Amino acid sequence: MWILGISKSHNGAVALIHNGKVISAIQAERISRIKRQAIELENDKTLVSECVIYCLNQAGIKHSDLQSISICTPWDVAHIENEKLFNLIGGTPKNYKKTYYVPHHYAHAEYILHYSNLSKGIILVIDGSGSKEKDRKLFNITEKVDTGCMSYVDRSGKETISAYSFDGKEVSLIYRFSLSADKNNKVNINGNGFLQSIGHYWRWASNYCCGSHSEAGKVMGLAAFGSPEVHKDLKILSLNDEGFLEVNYKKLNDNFNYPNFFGKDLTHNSHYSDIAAMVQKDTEDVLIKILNILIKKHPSETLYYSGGVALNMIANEKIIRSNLFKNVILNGSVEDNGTSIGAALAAYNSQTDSRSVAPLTDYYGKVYSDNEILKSITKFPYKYELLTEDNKYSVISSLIFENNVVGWFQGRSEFGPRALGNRSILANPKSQYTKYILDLHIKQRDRYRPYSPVVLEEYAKEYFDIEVNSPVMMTGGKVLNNNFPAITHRGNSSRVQTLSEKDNKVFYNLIKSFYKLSGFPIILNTSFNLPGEPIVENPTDALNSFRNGALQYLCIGNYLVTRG
Amino acid sequence: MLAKEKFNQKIFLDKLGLNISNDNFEKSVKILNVLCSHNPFKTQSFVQVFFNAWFGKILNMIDNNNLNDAGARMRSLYILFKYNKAFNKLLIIYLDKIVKNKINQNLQKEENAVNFSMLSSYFYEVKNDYEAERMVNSCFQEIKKNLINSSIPSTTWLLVQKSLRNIRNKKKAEELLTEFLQTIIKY
Repeated sequence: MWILGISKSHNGAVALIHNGKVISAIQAERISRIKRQAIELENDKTLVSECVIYCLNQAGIKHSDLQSISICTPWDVAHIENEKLFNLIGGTPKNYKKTYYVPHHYAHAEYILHYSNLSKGIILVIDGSGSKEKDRKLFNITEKVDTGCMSYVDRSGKETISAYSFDGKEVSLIYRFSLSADKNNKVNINGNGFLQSIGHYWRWASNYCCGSHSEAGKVMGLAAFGSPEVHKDLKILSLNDEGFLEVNYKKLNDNFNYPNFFGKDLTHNSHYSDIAAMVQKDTEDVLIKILNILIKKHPSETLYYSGGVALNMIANEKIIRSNLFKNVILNGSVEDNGTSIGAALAAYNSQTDSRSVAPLTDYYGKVYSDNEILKSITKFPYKYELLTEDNKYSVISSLIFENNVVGWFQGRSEFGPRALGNRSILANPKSQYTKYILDLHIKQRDRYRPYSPVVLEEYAKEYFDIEVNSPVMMTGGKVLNNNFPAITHRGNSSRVQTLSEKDNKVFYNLIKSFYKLSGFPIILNTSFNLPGEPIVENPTDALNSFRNGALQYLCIGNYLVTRG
Repeated sequence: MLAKEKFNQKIFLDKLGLNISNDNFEKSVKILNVLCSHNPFKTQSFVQVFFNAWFGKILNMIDNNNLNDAGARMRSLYILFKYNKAFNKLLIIYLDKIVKNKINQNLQKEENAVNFSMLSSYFYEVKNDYEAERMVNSCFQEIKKNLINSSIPSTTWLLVQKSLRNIRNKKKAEELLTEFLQTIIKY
């Protein structure tokens, strides 16, 4: 049973599943090369069909093999006639069953359940905003609502927080926050377009501190430099004991009137870092409070947590350390791209009344053959040599050990926002110059932003104070010694990727080789992209990035490309 | 405090245009601040309007041979963004006149580093790699001079980033950066 999932969203994506197993998934940005590329569906025929072909080719199937298409959107839901839909995806299925329309938060929920052992638990979904309440009647996959559901829903609302209880089989809504999205409604009167939403509070902070809505990650990095004490009395974000959330935009407007509209580097700027620290602390406090309220009503050992706000690894760490739950399940693609997979899984569940599970991964992209790689390399004027598999590890680890920064392109591309060692830039975390070289020359980032380490899973606790493994970089912990300046953020914090051999053998072997050479099993791992661009997808993207950027070495498959 | 009901965007956009045309940089930034505060969702487009209007004004200054003022404005704008294609075109027009006519610029001490960085950008664009590298070097020397006994402001890092981009030989750029860092990190 082949099901295509589409995230019609500001972070558009297409996924393909077969009998409940994720076969392939691609974010539209990786194809269009425009960061956070939206899929509007009706207006994006070429892009959508390219994404679909990408997925079908990986599975070795054709459009005619597809049986269902499942669509998820945070925008207006509009049913599409089959003929029009098939035209958009670029081909016609033979035995087509149905088009599914899936509520946004529900798709997030189905996706996170996929990475579990289906143990009973609470599913929490928090993002900017999801489905519109007016569209509920248009969904043909509907949510079961628990009789005791805490509900703050306006007819003109958009879901911003949802929680579900999962009994091992069924998912039931237990909490929903979905206040009006109408900008003239009294709850939004001071919002200047921002909603009563934790995700929108971060969008406000991103806009205020970085001059753009989509820089929440920068705000998180900045927060470490600020003090949450400075604005602690403002209480901008609050949640009462009944689970009613408030973002007090009036107070924000009254107190903060110097937005960083030019997006200037905020290093050593306490005005913005204190605001970032306030937003971070508010978020952590409210998350813990929501979870306390939910767990009181629905005692559970397991938390499944998804939605864009779940990208906040500091808050995730707080949740894990709160010990409210024995298990906290987090996946990598918690943003809207993940709803393409979630929507397809929801359709599978609806058709078969069963749920499939899989080990946590984000390697859902394409593998490029040696021929494809070589064909791309020869189009560029660079020196290259073919390395043997074993030689590759020793050559690249030596380069990194000698403080070179290396582009690393291997295997299947990652689906989510994190480069997990297949489309990465790698460097020595011990050198005092590494971060400067990355910030000023290669990645051209603001100085306050951190870089992440990848550590061999079996040694993780020797080097980091972490509670659980973090295979998709969703949690972090303190760096336990001060030998790694390039990956140690303010306050010794770090967003860690723990790596096992079964997660990614090639990357594992590289780090193991580096360990033998250096005496420490850690490498700095940052995404392979130029400033403002999406992560590279194919060999030509990688070589274009190499040409336009400042890397001296690129290992692509078994080829080492150098500037010469 | 933002009084949303009373805010008239058009009036402020007009004021922005007027202040830019009167060459009032500080006031134009203040008005941009008001616009962005009242309508954060339009921040990027307001900033674009701001830059475009200034680019137009600077072009006008260059056309009228008012090169001192044009240079001052360009240096103010240069440290506000990492890259701007339209600005780079303007930079070539302005520095073409300065370089080819060997015009002396009246620069304050702290303006030298920005000026060298701008020159490196100009020489990079006109494919004079030797001069581009020399200008980056001079920019770094100026930064070092100004950093004695002071902390490193974020503008400095921006200048370093922007200057390094103008060295076509990336290995050389990295060597220059490492050399620069070796002397600067102690500060």
